[in-house]
Amino acid sequence: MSTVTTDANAGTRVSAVCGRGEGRRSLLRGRGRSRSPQALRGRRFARFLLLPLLLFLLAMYVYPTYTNIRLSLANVGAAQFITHTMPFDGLANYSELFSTPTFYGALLHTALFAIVTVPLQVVIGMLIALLFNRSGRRYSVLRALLLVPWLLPLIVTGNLWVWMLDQFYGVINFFLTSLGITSHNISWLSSTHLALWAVVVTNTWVGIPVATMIFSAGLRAIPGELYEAAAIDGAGPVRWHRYITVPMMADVVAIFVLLGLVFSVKIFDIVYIMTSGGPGTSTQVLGTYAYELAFTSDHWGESAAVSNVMLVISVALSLLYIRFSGRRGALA
Amino acid sequence: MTARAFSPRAGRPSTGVRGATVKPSPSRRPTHLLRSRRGREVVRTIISCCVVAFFLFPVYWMVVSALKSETQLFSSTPVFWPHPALWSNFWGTLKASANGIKNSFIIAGISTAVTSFISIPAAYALAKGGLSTRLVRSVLIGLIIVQVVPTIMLMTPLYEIASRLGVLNNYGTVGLLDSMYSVPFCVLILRAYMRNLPGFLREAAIVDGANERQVFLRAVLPNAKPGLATVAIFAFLFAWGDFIFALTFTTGTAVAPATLNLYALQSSYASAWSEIMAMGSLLAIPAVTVVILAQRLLQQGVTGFGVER
Repeated sequence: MSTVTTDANAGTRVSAVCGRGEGRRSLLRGRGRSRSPQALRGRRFARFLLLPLLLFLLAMYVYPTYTNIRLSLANVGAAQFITHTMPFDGLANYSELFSTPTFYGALLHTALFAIVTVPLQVVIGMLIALLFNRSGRRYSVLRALLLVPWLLPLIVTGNLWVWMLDQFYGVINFFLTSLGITSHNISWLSSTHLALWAVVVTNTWVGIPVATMIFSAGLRAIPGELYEAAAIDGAGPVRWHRYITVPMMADVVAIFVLLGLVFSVKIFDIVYIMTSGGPGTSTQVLGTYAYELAFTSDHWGESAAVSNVMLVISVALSLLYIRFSGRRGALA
Repeated sequence: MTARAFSPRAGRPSTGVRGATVKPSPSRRPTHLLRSRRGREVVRTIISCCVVAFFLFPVYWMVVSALKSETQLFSSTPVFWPHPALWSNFWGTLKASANGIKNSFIIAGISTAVTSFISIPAAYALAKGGLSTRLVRSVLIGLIIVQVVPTIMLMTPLYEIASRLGVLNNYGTVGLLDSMYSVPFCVLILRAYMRNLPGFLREAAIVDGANERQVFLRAVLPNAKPGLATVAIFAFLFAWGDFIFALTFTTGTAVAPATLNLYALQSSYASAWSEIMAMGSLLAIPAVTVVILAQRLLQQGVTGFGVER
């Protein structure tokens, strides 16, 4: 996986995390591995160390996923949930779902969320990364400070933005009206047209630090000699970026975009905290819809069906991501 | 992207001031701010500080709002510097949520322990264990897929399982669930870190007669302290910030963490904004502390693998 890895003292480098090109030599598998007793003992110990992780993944992910698939094929309301029964019901939950307009609304909102948030994060994150592309303590401190929005608990972020977006006393409306951008106070979160965008802005704010970090690391991984060579050839800043920065950063950006899309599919907390899917269903995304179906209206089977749809979308996107990073020479 | 192995102990390669070092500065007219290299760097620093200030304004606004009285909060022109600042808002909130904060520490502590117990050995095994490429690759792909699985999708089955096992309303349950935020992430960043540890650590230990367990515990771990600290920091912060597992798997206030105190304030009819903002500021303290104390570790961690929650 061509993710951005670190090197302890010197900051960061984009490097291949995993051996490359070895997958093809499946016939020669084991080639290069030592068969000495010491190495064998080492491998056995390594497998033993891997065990807690594998058990954790089985218990927390694999088994629940299996349960979720069964749940989505069963008719489970409050009564069945209490008695822990899952009467098989075929694809009823799915057909119910696919005939509910709210579901398509949630699908649309999730897509809008992803399509708007990710490019915003890429553009702003890249601009800041270019601005901060200097070594030295000063910029290291600034980059670290920028991380605060990402590290705040989401419930803090959500409430903070609800307060700033308040129609009458919110500081954002104050700025907008005093700068003359709008003539009256806007009701961001109680408008069915604007609420989604208010949440999108909040979520962009949360995600920009990560984008900046990843792009900064990518920029620092570009060998300085390239710029030196370009300068000798008489290229100016515009051409440096056009012919060096952009092509060298393409992979990093592509990876960030794919990851960003995947993480947008599972968006939940910030929407639930800020609007709970409302007003009406105007900000209902797949995540909040699934949660509401299960924990508010006791339609456990249908909720499981919604989250399975989410699962299919995100796994498809992540396979794309894995294939992409695999093709780039570095393996996930 | 070429694979480069850097020893974490190696010296610091110059990350170079690019562009600026490359282009000889026209020193003929140093008086003009944008013409001299120094001047351009000063301008860049000023712009950078403004950008950071802009992004951190909401955090400033939160703290300031926490210090306001009702009249200052609900005035038609916002008060940017409350005078007098009502520090009593903080004390009141702190007193009211003391139990929640205690619970938050317990849960985040449990989660940090669980995450470390799972991810440190696994990261070592994947980085230095000499396992077959195929096994390592499948585990890594598994970890990536697991990260994209919607938490909400696992919520229903996990709730079902927890209620069947009768472990709802339990510190351990919430702590274990919170580890789901950090385990895949931490394994990936720690593995990347450990791969960069020099191979002679292991060889030297084996020459000294150490067995595999001693190699791991005595040779590798002490040399991986920054990586381990990063893992602990992220595990703690992710668990500290969790709200939805706590909301779903606890009832009442006995084991509920502080994020639920904030949620309770948010859901009450009277919108007590100064209390909400005070509670938010309190909850922000660990993140801000970590940013101040462990900037370098954090930055390395974030770039280790792009995650968003």
